[in-house]
Amino acid sequence: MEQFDSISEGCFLVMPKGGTRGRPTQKKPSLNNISHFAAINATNSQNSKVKLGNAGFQRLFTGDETEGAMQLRTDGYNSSWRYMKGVLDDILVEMNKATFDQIDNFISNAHIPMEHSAGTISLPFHEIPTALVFAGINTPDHDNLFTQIASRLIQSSKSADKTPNYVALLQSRDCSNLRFTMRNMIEQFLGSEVEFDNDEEEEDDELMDEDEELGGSSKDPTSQSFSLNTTRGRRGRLPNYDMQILDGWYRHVIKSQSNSLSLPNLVVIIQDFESFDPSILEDLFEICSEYRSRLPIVLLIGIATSSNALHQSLSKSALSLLRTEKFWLQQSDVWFNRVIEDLFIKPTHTVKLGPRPYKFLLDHFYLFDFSIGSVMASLQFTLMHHYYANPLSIFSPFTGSPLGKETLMKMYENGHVTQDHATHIRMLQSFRTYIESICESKPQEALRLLEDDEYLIIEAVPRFLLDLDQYQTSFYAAFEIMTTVQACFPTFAGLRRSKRMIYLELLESKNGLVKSEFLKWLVSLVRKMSLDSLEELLRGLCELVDGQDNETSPFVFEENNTELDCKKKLQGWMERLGMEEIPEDETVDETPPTAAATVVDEQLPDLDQGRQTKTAKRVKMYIITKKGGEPVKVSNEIADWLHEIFSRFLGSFTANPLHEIIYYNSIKLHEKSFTPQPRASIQTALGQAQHYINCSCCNSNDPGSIEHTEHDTCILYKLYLECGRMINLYDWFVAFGCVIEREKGNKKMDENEVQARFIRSVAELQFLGFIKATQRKTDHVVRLTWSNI
Amino acid sequence: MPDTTGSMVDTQQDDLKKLFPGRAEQIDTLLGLMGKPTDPTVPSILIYGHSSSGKTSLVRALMSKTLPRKQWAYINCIECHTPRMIFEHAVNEWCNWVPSWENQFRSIARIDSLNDFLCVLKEGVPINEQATETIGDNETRYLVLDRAERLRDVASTILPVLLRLSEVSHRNICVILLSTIVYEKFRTKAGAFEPLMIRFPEYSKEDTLEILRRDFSANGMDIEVKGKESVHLGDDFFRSFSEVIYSIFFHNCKDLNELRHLVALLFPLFINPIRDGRAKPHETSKLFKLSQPYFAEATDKLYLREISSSEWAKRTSEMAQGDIALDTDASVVTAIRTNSRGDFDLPYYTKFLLIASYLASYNPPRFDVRYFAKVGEEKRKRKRGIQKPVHDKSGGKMRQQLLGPKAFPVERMLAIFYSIIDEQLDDGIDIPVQITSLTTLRLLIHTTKMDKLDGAKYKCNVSFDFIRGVARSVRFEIDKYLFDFI
Repeated sequence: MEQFDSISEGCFLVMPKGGTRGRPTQKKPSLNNISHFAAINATNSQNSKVKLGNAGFQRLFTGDETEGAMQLRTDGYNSSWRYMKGVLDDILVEMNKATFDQIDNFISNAHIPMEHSAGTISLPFHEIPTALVFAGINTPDHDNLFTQIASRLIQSSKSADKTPNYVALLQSRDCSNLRFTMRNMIEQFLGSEVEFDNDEEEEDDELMDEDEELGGSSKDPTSQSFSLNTTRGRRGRLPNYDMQILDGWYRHVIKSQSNSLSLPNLVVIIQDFESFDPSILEDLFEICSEYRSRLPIVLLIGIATSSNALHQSLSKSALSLLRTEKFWLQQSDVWFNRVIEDLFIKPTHTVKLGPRPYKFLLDHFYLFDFSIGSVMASLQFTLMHHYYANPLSIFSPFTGSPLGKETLMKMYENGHVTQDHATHIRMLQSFRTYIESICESKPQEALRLLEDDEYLIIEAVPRFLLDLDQYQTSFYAAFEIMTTVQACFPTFAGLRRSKRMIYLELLESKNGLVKSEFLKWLVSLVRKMSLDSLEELLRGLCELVDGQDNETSPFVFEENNTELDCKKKLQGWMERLGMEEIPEDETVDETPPTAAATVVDEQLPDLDQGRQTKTAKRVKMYIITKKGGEPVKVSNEIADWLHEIFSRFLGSFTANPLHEIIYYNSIKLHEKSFTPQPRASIQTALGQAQHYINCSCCNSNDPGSIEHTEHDTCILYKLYLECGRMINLYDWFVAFGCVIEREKGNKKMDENEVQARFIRSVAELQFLGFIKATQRKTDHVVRLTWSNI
Repeated sequence: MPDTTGSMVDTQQDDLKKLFPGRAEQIDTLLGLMGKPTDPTVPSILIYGHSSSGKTSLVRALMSKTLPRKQWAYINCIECHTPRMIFEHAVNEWCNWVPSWENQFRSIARIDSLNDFLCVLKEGVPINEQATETIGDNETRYLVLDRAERLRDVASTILPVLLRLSEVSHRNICVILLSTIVYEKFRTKAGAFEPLMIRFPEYSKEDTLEILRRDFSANGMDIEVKGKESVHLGDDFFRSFSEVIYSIFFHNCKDLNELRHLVALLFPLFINPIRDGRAKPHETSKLFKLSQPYFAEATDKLYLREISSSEWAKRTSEMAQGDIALDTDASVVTAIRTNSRGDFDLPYYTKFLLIASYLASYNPPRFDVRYFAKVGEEKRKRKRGIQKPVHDKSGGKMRQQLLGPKAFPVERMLAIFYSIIDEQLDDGIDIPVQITSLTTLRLLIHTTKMDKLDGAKYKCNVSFDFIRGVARSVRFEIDKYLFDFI
């Protein structure tokens, strides 16, 4: 082990001025600390009480915002985060439910001998039933998953008809050696049922540690005589990592609940297999196998990669102790896609992401980490930023529907909504474009919006919000229709795009998807569809439309607009194509031929009308599909209809005034918080310290110059940049001294002070990892960064 | 009196010999060494032999048949990984004391060290206020230590003391060590008392078959045949089966338990044709021919536990129930393979990081410029570089591909990484985080110590097939960049 040996080893004693005091006792400093922090808090913000009471919410508009409005934002944040978190968690649980059930099943059947094993030969190894759970590569997410599995297993034991389970969840960070592993496992099984005398145990542990290091008998004589006196008197409790404790406890458990038929299982969950020391696991398996006849242990091993990991790290003898079965949890990208669909594409009443944060989220997930946790954190951060910093977030919907007129009226009358809000609204980009667009046609309206606060807040804002809501609803419907159409062309590679990418394109482009090549292509393909695939398409669309509730269906695009009523249109087309609803059995038999026949008659009058045999009909149908006719007409109509819907409803969200209230579109803070660039920030801090210190004195424009007013470490760093790979400490010191001597003007500086400051800065640079000591040359240090440039 | 005990011992001896075929000699030796209960014994015995040569089970059976429970203690040194556990477990067993809920999980005596242990042996253990259990006063006590090779790691002083425990404690105690390794490996620098050694040799063919037969139910078994009355399969049938198995595997696998494992798993397949009525029990060669394809493809997977016994059992029982026709090509292995979904996915840039580390591990650094520099002039050189491996193909014994991955400094890998990705990446925290994440997944291995912050070195821990799959998924032609690969 290389010791941290500091170049600047030294000790500075600073004598306190007010005489000597006794050594402070243990408690004093902690008390001092508390009061110290309290003092800092008090000085930092005058209204620290208010600040703490509202989870950090502060009054905006430089403090002019009313308390009520702030409260509204707090509530808005809380309720929308609760909603969002609920959605995120539900998806996760629902997605893995099947696998969880399988695992449940496996564990409850693990120790019931198989029925058909009677005919076969017993196996020579005491195999431990083992579930291998493949959980995807992002290990930090596994905490959540495995806790869920564990709690499910415990829960299921409470229902009467199932095998009860006791669960121990082992993580590699708690299991650095076999003893800790065993202790951890046993303590978790025993739970709170046995109270260990903790002090005694800890003492024992220490003793044991000594034992191991010194090798038993070579203990120091005094402690030995001490233990001689004590041991023979008392019966020591077993060390808390002894498997016999578990054995004894289990016998007790069985005895106490003799009524139930099946014996409880002991489930050992090994959460992060890859991080465990394989030799510990081998021993653990060996011990479990040894006790297998008495303790029904079931293992559950979480593996992040593939089963190769198991075969790579465990020895053959350990592997032969396991009877493995494999279970796959859903990969996190399945979860992510569902989240995007449920939170962003569907019309939900939460804050939505604008193009840049959305892209950030997408990129970060797919390019870097597949992490559920960071997506959640990112979304929460979005909400926090929106509700904490944006005063207009009081208009964001968080009660399930857009704010109505009455609510706003109330808010206005209560004084929650003030002039500042109106001003803020008028400053929104979307609002200004809107005003510009109507100032030609309705100058009165525009003027009123600009001048009348009450009108703006009570009349206009609810209207805008409702429009936004309507936009989202119809957008979702159109989007679903589009994906259904898209699904009809699985063979076209150019059309194979995931929903999340289409949505990204929609957010990013100025016109939404209206003028995209993708939609044009889609519509033109619909025109060329054959009869069969057309039927398929219509059926798909029908399913889509029928699947929705009638009242709230998003597919009723605009009321009283038959042009766009999907249901009727679809039915009409289906009738014309001779497709009837399948459940109506009788009509199916009769109507289609006649319908087809009439169609044929109308379209192809030149054919012999007298021939009505089956073959003739078939020939006619063939001709129709070949030459076109009704299906072609229908497909053209469908294409036109699709075009209409797409161009009306798949526009960009930016067309709506006040979209800033719902679409969060700031990215800088996200980038700073989730993809920090530590190296860049350190270099800026050292090279251009004025950005951080905010002082005026060293604000020189020339980055190359070294000002004596700068911080010592910055000066040293700038000198460092001028050095080569090896830095002579003395030269460095002299250069440093030259710079800081300017502080005093013409006076000579105290040599000791220069040295002390130099050494402190060198230590700091070493701590930051810019230099390290070397044996190669005396009085030199090695430069570690930027040395090759 | 001596006569009766003698005859009793004789019958026990015969029973044991029946139970353990091929171990008669060892049983005689052991019983001879033990003698009568009060006889002094050798201080220590080391029993060694290959794994699954019957050491543990024989000694345990012998002890439990010939001695009262209190006289011997059996300890598994893996379970008892500290001296305290070894001593306390031993004394508990000698006193017939079981720590349980009722006695608050207490041992009979607290023994922290070897010294305490010796004191307890000398002074006896107080069981209750009146009685004291003295250990090894008259009758010999035995201490059986299984997996004794672990004792070497517990503490350096323990083994020499245990080897001469009776001498040190002045008690009649015999320590029996069981191990798979020879005594030479136990020797320490300080030297120690040599135990008496008994070797358990490998079983002969006859013994092996006899042991295999004992797994088979004693009365034979009846199996139902489709459309006919059931057929009785007797010992002879099983014997012929196990002979076949033995003749296939004994060259490669001496481990008896592995043989038993294979026999147990392959037997259902072997009798399947009888169930179907395609063969009769006496047609051994026909049966063998019918089941041989399955044996051939599955045995190595079974042996290496790539297919676990439960997966195999599920599959074979399905076959036995006739869900799958035997003559279809759907083999057992492929079915299990397809059941198990394939590989895990990695994030996009993480894949490139892995590819970059693979290249850094297997390419010599001097060719980096040739492969990764984006200067136009290098193209000419690169061609030469690709031609070179053609010459090397035949004789490259020292190829990196055969030598395994080399450690590389992380900076080199990052340089390759930034050169093989197309986009410009910010120097954020994500890349270092992903390197760490790859390390926790054991796809990369950190070869320098954790406290050495600068100049960290890694190794790439994935196979060529794996990296090829990864490269294909991001459309990266890794073959073009690898030096000297076949």
